[in-house]
Amino acid sequence: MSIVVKNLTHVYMPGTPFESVALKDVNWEIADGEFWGLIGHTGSGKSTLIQHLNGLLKPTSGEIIVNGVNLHSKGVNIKSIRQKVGLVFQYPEHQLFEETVEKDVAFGPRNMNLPEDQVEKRVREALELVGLNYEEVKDKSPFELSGGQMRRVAIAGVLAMNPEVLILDEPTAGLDPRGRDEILDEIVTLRKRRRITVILVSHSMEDIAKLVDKIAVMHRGKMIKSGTPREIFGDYKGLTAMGLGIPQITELMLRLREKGKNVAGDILTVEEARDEILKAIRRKGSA
Amino acid sequence: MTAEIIARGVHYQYSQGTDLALKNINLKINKGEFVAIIGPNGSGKSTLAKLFNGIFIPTKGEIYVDGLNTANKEDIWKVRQKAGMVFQNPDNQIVATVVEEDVAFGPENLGIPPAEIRRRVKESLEAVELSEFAHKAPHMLSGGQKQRVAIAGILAMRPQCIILDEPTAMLDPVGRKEVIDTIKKLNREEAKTIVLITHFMDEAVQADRVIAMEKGQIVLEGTPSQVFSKVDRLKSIGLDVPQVTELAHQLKNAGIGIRPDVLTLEEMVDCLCQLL
Repeated sequence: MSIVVKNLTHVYMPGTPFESVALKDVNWEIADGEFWGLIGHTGSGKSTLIQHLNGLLKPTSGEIIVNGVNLHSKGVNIKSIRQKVGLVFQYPEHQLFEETVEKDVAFGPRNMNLPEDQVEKRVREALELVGLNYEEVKDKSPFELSGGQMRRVAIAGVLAMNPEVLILDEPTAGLDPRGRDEILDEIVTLRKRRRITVILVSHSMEDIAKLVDKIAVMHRGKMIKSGTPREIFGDYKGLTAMGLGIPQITELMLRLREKGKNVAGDILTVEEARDEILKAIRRKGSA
Repeated sequence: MTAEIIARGVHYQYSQGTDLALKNINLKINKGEFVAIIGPNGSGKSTLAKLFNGIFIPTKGEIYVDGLNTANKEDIWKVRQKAGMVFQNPDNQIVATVVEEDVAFGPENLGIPPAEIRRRVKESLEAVELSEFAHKAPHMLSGGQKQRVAIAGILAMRPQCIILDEPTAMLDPVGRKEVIDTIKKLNREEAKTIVLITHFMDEAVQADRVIAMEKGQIVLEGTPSQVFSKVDRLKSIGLDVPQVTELAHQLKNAGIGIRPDVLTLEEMVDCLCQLL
């Protein structure tokens, strides 16, 4: 599923003393099956932007085109778009409300009036995708689970709608390192299995660098840059000026280059850095 | 060095029949020390923090804060005044509609005279560098600023020790840095004892001492370089190391002669410059 954002501007509370421009002329093209990272500091407009992608917010001006259909043209069924563009908010576990895990995850599909056997199939699949065993958790109260498990149940609730685009706003915030890695691994598996489009909003440049194909950078309501991780993280100075960082490992290699060392600067992971440094040491040894 | 907090043979059980949340914790935190506690979810970090200021009382064993036993009911308010606590979610800790009133809330409850309260509020806001926000509404502040208001509220109680339970978990990188810089400044300039519970290893490496917990027990303890050089052990309990530490570990495994206890970017740049 593709999404095109055209000249999107959003003003909160227009015409009041509290008026504030949250998005200014944003243009963004997301092709089917792409994995995007969306970065920017707090208040840069990331959350406002993603809430437009499934029609939760209406543009003040501009267009959102999902699979060729303008979300806000007449006769468009916005509800069906919301089922296809799944949005996982920050701390989604705060939205759990049902008595059992099964009921919570099934809430969406039941509202779609799917037959019960279909509902069960979707709930099973969704829980399995987030690494939970259906039989083990289905009758438990979501509130007796650990924080990491609650987060997974909440994500499963969105997956049970079989979205074609999945948007996750800081899905690993507040989790411990293992919980973080597990959730991210599940997103990668999910993408492979269902071939869906994923947009990951994150403050962790390390996670973004490891996972995504492309990065969009928001700053003061504008999308000021987009490109591959190597392109985006190559501009260390520009990102720091916006209060953003780059992965520590990328910064390390750039610093070594500044000191005149002959190593690649566009390194994104520890493994790449290790190989690059081993090569450089060998070069020096044979020189 | 004199001890700020002592834990002696501490066990804690939430309710009968459940697993022990803490098993035989023995620990001494010195006055003026900056200690980071790391560990996966459910390892007992937060439980331990809540024992340090008497929110929980040990099922077995004792906790002493500046010589006072936390199990002693008469001393509980003294204990809490000596060891102030800051929690994860800034929005849950702010009670007033104006920043300076929020900071004054603690001392007001201690029955401190108004002139003294005013002095303390002023000093506390200066210490967290938020003086210009004294008359603002807390909900208009950023996450990092709100968390600093929460810290100022604790400072106004004049504690010797500040316990922070994942204070940066909900903040963006800028907010995280503000809070960590504030904590370090309070430790350095005002000699406050700091106990920082965190999932961010780049924060833990800045402490004087790191304590790693797993399943209710202390499993590693030492300076940041001692603890973080045990990369495989940390990973086995579900923790992380900074990327540069991981790189040093992998290079060492590949036969390169490099220190295994590299913690910061600057150290790693120096190490690699010697090799390349």
